[in-house]
Amino acid sequence: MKMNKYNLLAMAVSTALFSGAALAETDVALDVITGGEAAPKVEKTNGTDVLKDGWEVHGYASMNFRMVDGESIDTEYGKRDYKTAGTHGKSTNQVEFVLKKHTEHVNGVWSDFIVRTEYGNGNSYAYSSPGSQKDNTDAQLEVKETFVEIGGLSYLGEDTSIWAGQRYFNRSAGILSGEFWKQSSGLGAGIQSKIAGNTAGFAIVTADTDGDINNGVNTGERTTLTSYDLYYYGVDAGIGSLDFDLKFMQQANVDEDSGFGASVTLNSSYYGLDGWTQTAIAYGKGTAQNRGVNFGSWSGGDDNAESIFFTSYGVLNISERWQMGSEFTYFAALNELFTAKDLVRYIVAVRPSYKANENLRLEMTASYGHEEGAEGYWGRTGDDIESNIFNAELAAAFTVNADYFGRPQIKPYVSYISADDEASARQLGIKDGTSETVIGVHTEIWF
Amino acid sequence: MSTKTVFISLFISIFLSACTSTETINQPVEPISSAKVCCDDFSQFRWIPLSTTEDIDFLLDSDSPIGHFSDGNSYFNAFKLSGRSQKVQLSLSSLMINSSVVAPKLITLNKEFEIVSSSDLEQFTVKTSSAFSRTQFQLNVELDATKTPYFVIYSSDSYLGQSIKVKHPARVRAEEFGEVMPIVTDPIYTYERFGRLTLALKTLSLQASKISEKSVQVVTKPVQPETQNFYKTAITTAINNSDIQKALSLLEEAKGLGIKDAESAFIKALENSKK
Repeated sequence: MKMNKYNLLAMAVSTALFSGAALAETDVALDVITGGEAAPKVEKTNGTDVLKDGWEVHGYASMNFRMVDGESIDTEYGKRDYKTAGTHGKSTNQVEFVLKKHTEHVNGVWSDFIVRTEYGNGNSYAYSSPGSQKDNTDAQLEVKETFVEIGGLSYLGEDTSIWAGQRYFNRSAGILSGEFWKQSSGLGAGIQSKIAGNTAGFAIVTADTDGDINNGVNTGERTTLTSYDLYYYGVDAGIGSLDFDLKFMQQANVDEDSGFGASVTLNSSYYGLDGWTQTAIAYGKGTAQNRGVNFGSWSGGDDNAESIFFTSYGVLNISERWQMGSEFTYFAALNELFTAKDLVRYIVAVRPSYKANENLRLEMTASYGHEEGAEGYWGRTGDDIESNIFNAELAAAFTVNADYFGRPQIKPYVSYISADDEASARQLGIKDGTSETVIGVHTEIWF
Repeated sequence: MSTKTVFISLFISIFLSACTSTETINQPVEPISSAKVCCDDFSQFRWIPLSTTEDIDFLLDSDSPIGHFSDGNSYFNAFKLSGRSQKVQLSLSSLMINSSVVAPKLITLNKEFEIVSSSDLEQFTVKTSSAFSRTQFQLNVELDATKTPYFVIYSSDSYLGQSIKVKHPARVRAEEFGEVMPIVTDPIYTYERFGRLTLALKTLSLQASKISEKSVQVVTKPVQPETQNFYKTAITTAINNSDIQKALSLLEEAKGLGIKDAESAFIKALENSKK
């Protein structure tokens, strides 16, 4: 809980109420004073005194052991392109640590320092212990986020906070595709406050392209990307709340150097039933062609790039034991998208889930993905032009009780991927025929 | 092994293990009999002395004493702040373990053991787990040891049987970092009498006290001549009656009162009786 002036005010009021109402206990009985129950008193001290301070450690690890015909694999079967929704993603030894330092002062000022490091995201080899990983993979120990946020400064208003550093800001991901469709990932600074009771903010985030970074510091001009973000979150819409995002993007040292993206997100119940959904529509042009609001080192595009994106995903609580996750996502070019003329991608996916007991959850996933474009997009012709991919998966998640601090989960799964033709199958990395069965064990731990 | 075999065997094993799941049965909450209450008064509580700065883990269980509070009889632990502390920062946590948690109540008392303040469950925040801590109720308060040197923590009867639904830690992480939302069921914790709690204490300012200069003087009042005579006569009579035991105890009493010649009266009477 962030301590702000209101909290302090509430404490002061309760303290004052108490001091007026507290009576000396004279009875022998141990009864609490009737009508005079009050909060344990918080003494007024210096404004700069620290009320709360400390480090928190969180983390995550993901070890996905995937095999096809006795071979470890690199492909994710089009998961990143909305073709499949199974568990068969990469990362054989991904470990992540989050260090968080939160401090609160008596005068309401608070600060957060967050460092998030990660190793092994995207690794697909099965490694032994000699430490040879560095030679044959791009993954290394990486700092994903490091930023400071300060809030509660009296001259900015108690609801206002400022931040600066490296982070992925305002991020959202599809529940079954697992794809991040909204974020501003990079180095930047921002300010956030409340306007008419809703969260409003402005941020500037920059990111260098992977190409520039890998070329080294002495290789000429950089094509640095910058996004100017405006957002307004939590607007009540009756059936839920709306989030608005606007992003203006620019890229240095390129001819067609600008773009614009916008999205509207509705957070509501599961289409009127018990549960939750996030439904969003986004538009992107030029540099912001990637779902309009998905900014990072991957951003960029010329003036022909223009796209529309729609997604709706969530979880339906059917009963105490049954839940169902679902996702529908549509991502298409209004002109060109990622240089492909008339590119269209969509996926429909469901994942019913049954909680057998505190320690076992069964998951069944089914998805249908589609991709097509104009003749000759990315050099594709014939059967390559259109792909229809079906994916079915059965998994059992073995876990310890949810309150256990480690919360490890071991999830064996069998995933079956079937393409409409061999050309489409080859695009997914299937070597023979049109289908493939992946057997794997995905191990995760949250702490 | 063919794909079909793998699918079928996995499916069967999953559903077999699913059948073995068991339901937890909630026990009805019986009030604790007043006969088990340890003390009539707060002043009779056994107080656990605290240091100026201390972290304590403790259990509320069947070994804890039972006290009578306005909201029923309850197991409790009673603490006394250090005489060296004045302003003290107190952090009380009740850990959520295996579907149960103590909904704690904290009451502070003054030197006369009168209740000064008591906490409400709404004042506690739910802190979700991290690498080194479990999900817990947490209350941070500042106490003045000169005003409230005592405090009691107990599991209030009024909360028993109620429960709280806490966000699944994987969901908390996903929301905080914008990760993919997991399909998980949020755990529910029922408020029970027994549970594990932690107390973190930090003294912010010290309490100083004056050392009293008054030395303790033994005041001896002069013994009245009538009393002296009474003892001397009584000792002599007892010896004359050959009741030496009585004479000895009278002599002891007389010595205690400071009657100096009681002993000579005793010896004289003893010598006379031998004649």
